[in-house]
Amino acid sequence: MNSRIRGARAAGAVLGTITTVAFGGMAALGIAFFHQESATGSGTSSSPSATATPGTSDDSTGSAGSTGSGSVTGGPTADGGTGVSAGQGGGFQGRSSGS
Amino acid sequence: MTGSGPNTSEWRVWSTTASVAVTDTGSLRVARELVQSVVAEVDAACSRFRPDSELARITGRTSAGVEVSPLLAALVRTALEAAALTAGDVDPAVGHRLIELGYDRDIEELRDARGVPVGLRRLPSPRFSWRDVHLCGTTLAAPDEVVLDLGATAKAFAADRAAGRVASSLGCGVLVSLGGDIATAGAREDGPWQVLVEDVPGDPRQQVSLTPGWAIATSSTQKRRWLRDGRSVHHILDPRSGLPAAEMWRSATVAAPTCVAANTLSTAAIVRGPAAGSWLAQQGAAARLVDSARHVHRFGGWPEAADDTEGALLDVR
Repeated sequence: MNSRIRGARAAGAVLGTITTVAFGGMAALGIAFFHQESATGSGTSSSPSATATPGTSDDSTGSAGSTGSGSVTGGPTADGGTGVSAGQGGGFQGRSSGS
Repeated sequence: MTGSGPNTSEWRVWSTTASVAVTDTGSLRVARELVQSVVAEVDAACSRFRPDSELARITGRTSAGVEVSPLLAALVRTALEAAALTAGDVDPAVGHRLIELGYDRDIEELRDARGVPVGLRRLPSPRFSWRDVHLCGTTLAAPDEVVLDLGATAKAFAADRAAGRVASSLGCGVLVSLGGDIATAGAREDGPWQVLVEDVPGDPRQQVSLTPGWAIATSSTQKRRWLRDGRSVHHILDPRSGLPAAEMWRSATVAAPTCVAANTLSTAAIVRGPAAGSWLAQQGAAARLVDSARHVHRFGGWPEAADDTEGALLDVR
C-alpha cells in the first residue's frame, strides 16, 4: 500500500511532506513517525501533526512528535516498497543486531 | 566489525557500538562529530543512568506538570506514540520496574543485581502505564512515582536524527548505526546500503539491501542481560506482567521508513510473542524473526535468502 503523509498545520507551522511506501498500518493508525531533521524542514514545532492518506481513499489524522520537521525519503524501489530486499553480497556497511 | 573501511568510523557508546558510514570519504570526520553530538544531546536529555540528565532531574516531581526542553519533549512524545501504536507493548512507564529488577545502572556495570529482593514475581497489575503520562507541548505531567525509561525508542530516535543531520549538513549519503539500530539518509549512487542482520554469533545471519532513506532495527532477548537473584534476565519487559518478555523470539528485525518505527515494531514483536507475526503483517512492515530454536520466520515481504546460515561475509566498503 502506498501511503502519502502530508505535513499539516501545527501551531501555525506548515510541516514538510512525507512520502512513505508500504506502511499503511501506521498511517491508518494515525501515527507518523518522522524524526529526521531535513534541509527542507521547517524548524521546530512543539506539537506537530500530520495528515495521513493511505492509498487514494481513507484519510486519517495523527500526531507526529518531533522537533523539526523532516522527510522520510524511502521511495518505491525494486524491494516492493518494503525498504529491504535481498543482499547483493560483497560486504556491508552496517550491521543490525540487538544491543 | 564495521569500522575498518575508509568510509566508516566506529566507536563505543551506551555500552554498545556506534558507527557511521558515508558516501563521501572526505565527510567522515565531520559526520562522526555530528553523530556524536546528537548522541550527547539525547544522552543529556534522557539518560536514566546519569544524575545530571534532564530526565533524572525531573523524575519524582512531575505530578503538577513540569516544563521540559523541546528535545526531551520530542523524546517523550516519540515514546508515547510508540506505546499508542503498540497498544502499550512498548511502554515508557516501566522504568520503576526495571530498577526493581536490578537494571538501575549502565548494563556494563550490571553483573548480579542484588538490591531489594523482589525476585521475579509477576506483578498483579501494573500500577502505572504510559496512559498516566501526559505531554502538552513541552509540559510533562505524570504521577511522581512514574519513572520513565525511554531506552526503547531513544536510541532509534538518535539514529534517525543523526542520519538526517549528517545528510542535510554535508550533502552526502549516510548510514548511522547505534547499537544495531540503523538509519539512513541522503542518496547513495552505488545502490542500496548493504546491512548484515545477525544478532549474536551463531544465530542465522543474512545480508540485505536497504533502500537509502529507510531504516532497520533489531530487538533482542539475548543482549543486555543480567543476573537477578541468580537468574538471567533481559531488558525487554512485558508491561502487563512486569517481567522480561517470554523468550519465544531470540531477535526481531524490522525495516521501516524510520528507525523509530522499525524499533517500535521490533520491540513490540518480542513482547507479543506468538502473536507477533500476524500483527507485523497488519502493520505492513517487513520483518525477520528468529525463534528460540534459531529458525528464521519472515513476514511482510522480508526477502528470502540463501545465506541465512552462511558465515564468512566480507566487510568491504
